[in-house]
Amino acid sequence: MKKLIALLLLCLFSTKTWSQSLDFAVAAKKEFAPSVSFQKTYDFGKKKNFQLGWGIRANGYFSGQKEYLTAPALLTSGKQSLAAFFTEYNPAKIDTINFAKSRLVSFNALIVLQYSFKKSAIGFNIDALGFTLGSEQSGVFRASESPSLNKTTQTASPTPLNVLLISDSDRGSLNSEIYFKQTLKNQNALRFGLSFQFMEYTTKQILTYENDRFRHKSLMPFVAYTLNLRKK
Amino acid sequence: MRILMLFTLIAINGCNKSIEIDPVATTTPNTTDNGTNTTTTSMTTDFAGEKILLEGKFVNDAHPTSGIAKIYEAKDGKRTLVFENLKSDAGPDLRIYIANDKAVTNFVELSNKVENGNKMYDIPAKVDLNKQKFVLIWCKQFSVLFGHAELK
Repeated sequence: MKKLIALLLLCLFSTKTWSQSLDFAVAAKKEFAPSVSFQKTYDFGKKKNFQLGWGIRANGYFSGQKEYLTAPALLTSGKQSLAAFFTEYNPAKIDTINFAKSRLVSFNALIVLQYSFKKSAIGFNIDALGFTLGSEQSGVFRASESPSLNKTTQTASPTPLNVLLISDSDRGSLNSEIYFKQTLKNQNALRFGLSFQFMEYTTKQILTYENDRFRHKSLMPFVAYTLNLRKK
Repeated sequence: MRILMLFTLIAINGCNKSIEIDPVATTTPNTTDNGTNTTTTSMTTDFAGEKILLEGKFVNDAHPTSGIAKIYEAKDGKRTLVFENLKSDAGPDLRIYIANDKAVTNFVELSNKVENGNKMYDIPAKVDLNKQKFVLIWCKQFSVLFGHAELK
């Protein structure tokens, strides 16, 4: 693994062709999630078709009433990381909080993977590490196994630290996008695709199963305009 | 020499199996993660004169668990949780909680160590036995309930 990372870093710094861009995206469904990101990608392969890169992204999430579910993977599926991704949910330990509104803004470092062909590209990016700000929210907590806490009002704030740990093992609020990109005549580009976002709140008090983290997942279509900052 | 060793073996086995009513108790104080001071004591204490407040049988959850949990109250108001013949599987990071329900609501940690057999644990004054009537054998590391006893 160490050799692989070292090789990857060597490739990153040895490649001579790279690009950097400023990207403005809007994802929406019944909620609204604008984002702005700076991205730098490095070209690989004989034809320089592959791009690998990094960036930073500011992402907002604003919505009306949403249901947040128990977040930790050990409670949702009994497994961690990649294993949790392939394991069915165990509803017995999943409780919910219903917030009247969600207001979160996260700032994350992101990873970009892309494959280009002619003036088009398909790609994927995902937030890896960062932090979230947002206002405190109150909502009704529902826990079928806890008569004393069921239907009580609970207060929560956005989970401050975001870490990508794969699937439900993730912590905090993270965004990922899968997209198609079309370069325009002016060398800027249009992107569109699907944005999959995790939003997470931490309650003031520990609730059922020693848990205080609750997550909402949202899959939204998005469009974006990419400003090429290194035009030829 | 052999006779002496035989007597020693008999004496050791006798200590493990019997629940002697004996004023001498071995006590191991622990400080748990949430700052609760707990005391694990081998079952060699006399409860004559103490009142049984609550009692319940352990039942299985994720793992086979059996035994009886009782709460005694001494004349000075000190409350003690007593396990009789507790039997559960070994596991990582097992805890004994007293909580409002099986969902670990409003829990107080009584011990960060679970031992099979006959054991007793001090109950902190902050525990409200009108609400906290569930004794849980809880695996903190993996959030798994091994077994529980509802006290009545």
